[in-house]
Amino acid sequence: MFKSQLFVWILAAIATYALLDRLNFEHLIIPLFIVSFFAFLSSKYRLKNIEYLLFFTISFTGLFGLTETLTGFYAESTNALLFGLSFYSASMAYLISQNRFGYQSVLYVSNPLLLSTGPIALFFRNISHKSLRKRIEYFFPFIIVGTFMFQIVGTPLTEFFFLIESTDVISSIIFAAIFEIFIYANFCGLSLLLYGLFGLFGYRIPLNFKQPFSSRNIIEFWRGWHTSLSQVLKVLFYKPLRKKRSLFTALIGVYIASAMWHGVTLNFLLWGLFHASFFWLSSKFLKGNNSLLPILLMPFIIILGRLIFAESDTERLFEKLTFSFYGFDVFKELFEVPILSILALLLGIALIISEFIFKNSKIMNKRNYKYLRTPFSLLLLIIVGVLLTSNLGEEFAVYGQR
Amino acid sequence: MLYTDNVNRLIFWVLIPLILFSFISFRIIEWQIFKDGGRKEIAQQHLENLRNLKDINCLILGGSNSFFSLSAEHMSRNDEFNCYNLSLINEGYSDESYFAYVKSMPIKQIEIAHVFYSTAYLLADDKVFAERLKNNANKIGISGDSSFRLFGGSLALRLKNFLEGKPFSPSYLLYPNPNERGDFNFELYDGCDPERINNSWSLTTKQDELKNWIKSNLLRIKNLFPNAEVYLVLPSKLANSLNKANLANLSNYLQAQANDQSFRYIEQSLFSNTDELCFGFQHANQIGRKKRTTELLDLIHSE
Repeated sequence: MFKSQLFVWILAAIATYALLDRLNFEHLIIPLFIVSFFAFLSSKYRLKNIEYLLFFTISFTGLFGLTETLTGFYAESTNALLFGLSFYSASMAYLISQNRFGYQSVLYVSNPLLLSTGPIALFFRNISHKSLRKRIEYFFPFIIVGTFMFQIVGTPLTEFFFLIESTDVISSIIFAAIFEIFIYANFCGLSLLLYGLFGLFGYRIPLNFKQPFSSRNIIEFWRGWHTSLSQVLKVLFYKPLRKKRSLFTALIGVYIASAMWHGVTLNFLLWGLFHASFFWLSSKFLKGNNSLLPILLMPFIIILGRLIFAESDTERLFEKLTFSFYGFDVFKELFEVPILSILALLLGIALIISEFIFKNSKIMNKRNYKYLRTPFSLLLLIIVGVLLTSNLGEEFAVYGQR
Repeated sequence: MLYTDNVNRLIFWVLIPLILFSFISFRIIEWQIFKDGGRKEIAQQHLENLRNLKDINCLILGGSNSFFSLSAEHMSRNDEFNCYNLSLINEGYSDESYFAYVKSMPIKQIEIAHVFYSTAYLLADDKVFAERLKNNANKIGISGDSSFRLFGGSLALRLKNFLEGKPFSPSYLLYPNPNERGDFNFELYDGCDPERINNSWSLTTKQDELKNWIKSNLLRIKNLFPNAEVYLVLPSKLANSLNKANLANLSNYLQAQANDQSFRYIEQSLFSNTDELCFGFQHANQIGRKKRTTELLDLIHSE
């Protein structure tokens, strides 16, 4: 068991070293030492509430400028001492709270590939007893779908990033919508890619996205978005708070914790309060058997939430939130980006619409991208991918190490 | 059902691997026959030219912006200057490679009295600037990065070109040798296409890194040419929706640095329309080059 985990760790280290720029040997080794040290500590002592301290480590380092705030743009810390901190601190916090953290967790919690893109390593289940052929048949399609989403849909969308500077209502909404598609294609793409890769090597890791747009309300949406973080938040914040407090208070606690994990900035605080409020409101509507309003509210919540999430410039954020209308000039600018970026945007929209419209069909039921993993879909993705793949746009992991 | 299963198996185990294998093979072949767009030949031509030119007292340094948009020949019509345009495409890809190349040229460094350093990296967005820093870290040579790329130029766009009767590989990347003053030779080039100009650009958000970068390059130039007056030139570019306040901030900073660090800072005006451009928002055509060079001379003399 240890040997095969070590083998996967070494392979991941080689891949990370080859793929990420400005990465040194210490970026790979230091997390391993830190996680090992915590494994040693937790085997000797039971420190009260250490999981909360660990979870908020990234907030403290961000507050003191040691790590970068997550904005969705290229934000890579060069500090080797803090490489992957946001992910392994959350992993350790979760595993400690579940009494599952120990030496056996060290190699997967500090796995360099997981630290460079996510998901948070909640588990690392050995499935090597399944035949290689079975693993190829099941996991290889995830690699194709992930690569397609990351490379063909996500990366060319970075050509639209200039829109962030415009503060009028039309530009702001269009930027937020495109940015939402970009974040989804980038983060989900990388997560599916890693899910497939680790699966091929005989380990099942968390499926970080579960077709979030196959939802009827914002509550279902969050069940499918960044599921590894949601699970950590549920265990560390929601459950303990819900035991003693109202649903609203528990939600505020969860979303503020989530916001602080992303970055200690005003926009994240607002983002947390915004989502907590609408989550609560949606649950109230659903309890009152009103399912129409939550479904109508969902796109508004997602887009406005993303607008707040993306804007770390407070002055500009407030300007955007005045929703001033200056006309439709932005549409002219939109079509000045390269044609491949426009095609990427159309593909992104098509993916999201398919997820939503066919959410009740049999193939979408499990929300595990099965509709994209059928041989015919894969063939289509590969043909389109081979034709459209280019070096256009900026390649980076939105939830990359900080 | 059996028929569907067989088709699915055929797609999964035969068709998909075949397409992937063909695609990867194509990329490998393309990588093996990698052409550097004539960069090595251009670099060699500069060497030949400089061996034959006497009494050079002025150099134009920079990347494609100054290669396309400034003329040493035009400047040398002014009695004060005997110029040579030693700009390289992509500014030699990395700083170390570019300045090592400049140093290796047969130039009497102490006799150089004027250096015009026109760098488009002042106008770079995050991606372009990050790539420069990455190239610096990887010490990429003046011929560019020849490493294997799975995600290279788009096949769809190439097929479109091919169907329109244009070459399958983009010809605009192949540049002719410069003339005897190192200027871009527009007579031998047919790749100008204003339609390719991407007018959407923004300044890098990594302003602190950019400032350190420019300081370091100015120091290199001063060390190479100790008797030269160094002019840092912010290139002309196409007017667009760029945040003017950000550009003004950068200009103010560079102007303040110029006063402190004894170099002269010149900000060139905007290109008014694409008729003055070849391709790229800072790549002039012959008309734009004449305009930009004339303006540069005027600005020097008006100070």
